[in-house]
Amino acid sequence: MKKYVAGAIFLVSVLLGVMIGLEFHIDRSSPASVFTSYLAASNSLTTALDNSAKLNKLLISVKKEYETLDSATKLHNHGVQDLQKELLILEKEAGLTPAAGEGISITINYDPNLPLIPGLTYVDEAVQLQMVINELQSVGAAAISINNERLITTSSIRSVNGLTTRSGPFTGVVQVNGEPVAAPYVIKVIGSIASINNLIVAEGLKDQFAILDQSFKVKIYRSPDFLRLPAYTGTLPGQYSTEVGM
Amino acid sequence: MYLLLPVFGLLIGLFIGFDVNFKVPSQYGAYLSVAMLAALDTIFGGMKAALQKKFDARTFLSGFFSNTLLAALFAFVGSLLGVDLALAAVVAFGVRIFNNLAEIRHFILTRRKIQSH
Repeated sequence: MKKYVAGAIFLVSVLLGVMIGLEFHIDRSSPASVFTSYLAASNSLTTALDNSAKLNKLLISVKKEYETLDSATKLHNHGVQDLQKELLILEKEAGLTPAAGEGISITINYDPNLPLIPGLTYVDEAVQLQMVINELQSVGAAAISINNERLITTSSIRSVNGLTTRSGPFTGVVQVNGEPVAAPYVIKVIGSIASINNLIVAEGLKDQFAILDQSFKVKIYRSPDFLRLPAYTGTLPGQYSTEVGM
Repeated sequence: MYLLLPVFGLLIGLFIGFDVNFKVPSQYGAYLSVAMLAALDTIFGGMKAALQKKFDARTFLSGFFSNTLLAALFAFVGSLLGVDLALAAVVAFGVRIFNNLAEIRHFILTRRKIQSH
């Protein structure tokens, strides 16, 4: 065999070996290996660009929808916040939250030092308390409680005659909001101190109670020594009924 | 000794091919495969020619390089034109390889038959 023939065969063999070896160096894990040809890749690219344009349109519409929903949510949140503020105000006005402020406390108690009026056979303490509360409300009392029973619009004050063990003309036990309270009756009032004081003096409340053998003591609470009243915790009328025709 | 020359060459080529620190991009894998198929076709054609005592080294070498490079180039151009010429090359070279192999087999079998008689 001539030398150049052998050389040609050797060269071709080496090159074939190199090509076979290089076959194992093809990066088949690459995403580009999915495409068998330039044409396939080009077609895929065209399809991807079409899809991209569609998705861009969809993205824009979704963004608009999101903005609309976002603004609606903000409005809704504002609405909820306004309603919560209004609810808080209403609860405050209804006496469902604790109250604190300047005011006075009135303590009404039996006073053995006062002479018993001859012929006095019966004193309804609830009526006396109702009279005082009514007077206080007439001068714009913001919040009232009797022996830490907060008064609201549907509060009741009534005497319970059967429960008393006390001898004499007094009923002895009063129910406020259905809860029994006994003397000394401490009426706490948040409101204008001057107006309340004027009322007490003008109506002669102290004298009125004195003739009923009861002491009538007034204590004033000014800032920063605020008067504190608890919230009403009893049953509300709405819990047993629903509004009709709203 | 001469018969072992292609084997040595192949082993050296394989060593170089495996050892080379080079990643062939996947998009060129198809062209390399077509080129390798063309190379195999030339080699089997050369083996057939050698058995028939018609082997010519110049024809063999020129055929090897031209077939290999043209096959890869056609496949590449085909992909640019949108025609899958790589598939056409695979079919054409595949048919030629099997034909060459069949002729080689026939030649070997016929020669043995003559020798046995």
